[in-house]
Order: sequence, then structure tokens, then C-alpha cells
Amino acid sequence: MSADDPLFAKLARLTRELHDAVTQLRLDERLARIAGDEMPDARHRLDYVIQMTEKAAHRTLDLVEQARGVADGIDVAARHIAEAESVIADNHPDFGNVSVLLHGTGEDLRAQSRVLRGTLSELAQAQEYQDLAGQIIKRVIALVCTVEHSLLELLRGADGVGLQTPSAQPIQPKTGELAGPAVPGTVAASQQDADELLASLGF
Amino acid sequence: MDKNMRILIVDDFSTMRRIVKNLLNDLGYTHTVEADDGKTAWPLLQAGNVDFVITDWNMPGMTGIELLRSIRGDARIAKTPVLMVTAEAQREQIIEAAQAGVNGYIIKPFTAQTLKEKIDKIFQRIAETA
Repeated sequence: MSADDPLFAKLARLTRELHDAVTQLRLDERLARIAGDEMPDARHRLDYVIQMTEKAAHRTLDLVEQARGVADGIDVAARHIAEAESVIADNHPDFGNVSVLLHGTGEDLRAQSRVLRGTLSELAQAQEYQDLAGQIIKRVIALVCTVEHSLLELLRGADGVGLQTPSAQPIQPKTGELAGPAVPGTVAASQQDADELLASLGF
Repeated sequence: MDKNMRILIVDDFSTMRRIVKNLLNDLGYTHTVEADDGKTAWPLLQAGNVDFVITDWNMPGMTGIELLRSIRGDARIAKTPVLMVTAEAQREQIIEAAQAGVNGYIIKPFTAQTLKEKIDKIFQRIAETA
């Protein structure tokens, strides 16, 4: 689109009219505050949310690792009990009831440790929310940034500096842009859909 | 399959790298290396001792799909199996990854069971075609 393009001329006129309207409504100050202070502030806050959730997720993963150490300890205790059980069985056959008791305790400990490990794995897995939430927030930050720049550009025009040249990045459908994590209300494939699709492609 | 194989985990979120690493440890795979995007992954792949790649798609610098294409385009490492683990859940993306030569595709959020199934399936296929 060149400057003598009728569409460009029409757009330029519309933009100028919008600037005039903005000035008349005394919206420029308020918009300047929004674009200059409030939007950068919103971006920083969102960035902070990502940092905070990342820190919390790592803290949880640290604790999961510590608790796995406890599960290891329980397994070691269960092995010691099994050793004690065989020592008693070999040397004190008359203490049969003690052997039975020790055997049961060892089994219980092993079962508890299995449950504990399972729970810890689920707990670690649940932290993947941080990646997904972080990706969604990053997208919102990028959007806020775009609106902020557009607004600042509009205000520079309204300040009497004159109309800016058209943006170096005209609005056009971006090819190859990724959709990002699925959010409610969007069409997205489930793992099963993906499996079926890949199977149909010979995978 | 070889539990000693060296697995490269590529994701820009450190939380996700840690979760995948934990899950792999649970499955008995203890040799893992990490990279935060395709660019940092590339020298590790070039060094030649990566047996399996698990990569995210959307990363700054070099994306997972670019990494996949680079791997397939480099004769020395072209046969390295690549499992994509990503939040990208559009049909077009899945097809694009398939066309680029991905070996498996997991959509986040995923479960430990899904990761195990896909890894097993990839190596089962490799054994069948070997």
C-alpha cells in the first residue's frame, strides 16, 4: 500500500478524525496514563505471576524429592525387618509368632512405601500446570504489549507531532502461528484424537 | 529397550524439564541431559551421544519443529527418535510434526502412563523395522 493509494488516504483521514475525537474528548491524558503506566504495570504483574508459580512449582518438586528419600528410608527399614525375620527363623524357630509379626510389618511397610511413591509421582506430575498457565500468561503479556504500542503510536499522532507513517508491521493473518495451550471454548485435539490422527497417517 | 540410553529433554519451562526428568527416572531412565530450546539442544546433539529426544514445540530461539527438521536433515543424527511433548493441540500442528518425521506426539497436560506408552511404542516400532 503506497501513500497515493486511495485506501491509504481514506485510512489516514479516518486516523486523523480519530485523533481529533480523542483530543476533543480529553481522552488523551487518560489513554497516555493507561499506555504509559498501567499497561507496563499489568505486564510486570503478569510476569511476576509466572515467576511466582515457577518458584512454587520448584519448591513442590524439591519437597517431592525429599519425600522420595523418606520412601527410600521406609524400604531400607523393610529390608532390615526381613533380615531380622530370617535371623529369628534360623536361630529361634520357637519364636514363630515373632517371625509372623515381623513378616506382616515388613509387607505393610513395603505397601505403604509403594503408595507414598505413587502419590509423590502424581504430585510432581500435577506441577505441569505451571508450564501451561505460564504459556497462556505469556500470550496475554504479548497481547498487552501490542495494544500498548498501538496506543502509544496513536497518541503520538494526537499530540500534534503528525501522523505516523504506517506501521512497519501491517496487520495480516500470521501464518504458522501456534495456537498454544487449549483453553475452554477452543477447538483442540485430545491425546486420543492425536493418536487416531497419527494412526491414520501410518504411525 | 536400553535403560541406559541418553535422553535429551528440550523445554523452555524448567518446571516441565524437571517433571519429565522425574518421570523418566521413575521409568528407570536415569541418563538425561537438558536444554531450554533448539539452539542449546543442537550442540548437545552434534556431540553425538544423544539416543532419544523429548522436545516441546513452542520455545523462543529455535522451536521444537525446527529442531526436528534440523535433526532429520543431518545425516549423522537423522535417525534419532524424537518425541514431541507440547501444548499445541491443533490438527494442522500434529500433521506438520508427522510430516517432519516425528516419532510420537504427546499433548500437554499428559500422564506418566502416556509418556511410558509412547516411549515403549517408539522403540517397539524401531525394533520391528530394524
